[in-house]
Amino acid sequence: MKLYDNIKLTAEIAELAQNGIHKGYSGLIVKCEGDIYTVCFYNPYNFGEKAYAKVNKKFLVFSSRSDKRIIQELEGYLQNVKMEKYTKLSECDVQEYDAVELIVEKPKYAIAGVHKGDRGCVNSTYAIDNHWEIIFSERGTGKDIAQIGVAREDFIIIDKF
Amino acid sequence: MRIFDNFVYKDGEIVDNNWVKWFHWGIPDEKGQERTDARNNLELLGHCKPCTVLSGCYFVKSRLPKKQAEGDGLLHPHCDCTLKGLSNPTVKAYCAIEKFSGYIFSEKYADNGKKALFEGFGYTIEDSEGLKAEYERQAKQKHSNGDYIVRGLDPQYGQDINIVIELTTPTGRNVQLISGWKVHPLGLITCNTPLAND
Ligand SMILES: [Zn+2]
Repeated sequence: MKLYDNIKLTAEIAELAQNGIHKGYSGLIVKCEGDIYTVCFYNPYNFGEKAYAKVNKKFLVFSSRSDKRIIQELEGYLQNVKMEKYTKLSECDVQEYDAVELIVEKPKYAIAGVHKGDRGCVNSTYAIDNHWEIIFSERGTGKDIAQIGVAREDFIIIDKF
Repeated sequence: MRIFDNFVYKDGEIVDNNWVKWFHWGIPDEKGQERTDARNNLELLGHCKPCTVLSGCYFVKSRLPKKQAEGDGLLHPHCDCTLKGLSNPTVKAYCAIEKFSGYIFSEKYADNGKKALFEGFGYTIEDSEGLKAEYERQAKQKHSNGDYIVRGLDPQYGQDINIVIELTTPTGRNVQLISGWKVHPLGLITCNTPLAND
């Protein structure tokens, strides 16, 4: 295990768990200081969300080695990144096949024909930038309206799978 | 130029067989942790999410994901993606049983009308397994013939396509249903919805 390796967290650590980083989550080693590694953890339920945290290397297991070209780009990227801005991962309460309802009227959904009160079915196992993929359907006709990404705060779960 | 090079006879039909593989450097084709790690790292570095999700996916060259912005590049300007030629790719179609048992025939979704429609055709939840198998059979065959419709590439979970499924229902009707599928690496498609009809 070395700098820029991809790892997995092997234990539930209270300090990390309260920031939404849990056992089994994967990440990238961005700094090594003795036994303490700084890891950029990724949220497996929300692609695009990351949090930097220090963790003893005994709680990490090697997952994969980064591509050479990725390492080259990382070296430049990490010089300028403000790690203290990213400390928490959000918790996820959505599951594929959950029945949901849109609770807001917004142009970005209306443009696809989806309006407040419309119901749909979650079609993804993870979010992307806090947006879940949902198939909205008309009532009674069997037809779909649209398959779109909806921000978590814009829908409620009306029936869990 | 020999314009018919791309077309071949298959099952008595002339089909488009000019398959290509979408490729973005640094991403293993095989689904799994290594691919996830690489996609996470590239996303961290600001590489476009749709490009990394498409890497490793197969398309017929005449039915590629739609460009997201004009200019050079496969998907957008400064796109790192390229296409690699493929000969005789193996394609697979998978439809989760829950798409029928937990969605189409589920009481929870009855108000969308799909349950009533399928029941009107003479199907019940007991037919979920049979429908799944028939959808997979037809989707695999049609997809391998390039017989699919490309949809938008939003919300970035992967390229969605539509495939028309033809059924002879228990009540003896012949119906055509537009089903929705998602394209995954290495020739796999999975069913989003057995009945989109949107
Ligand atoms: Zn690209």
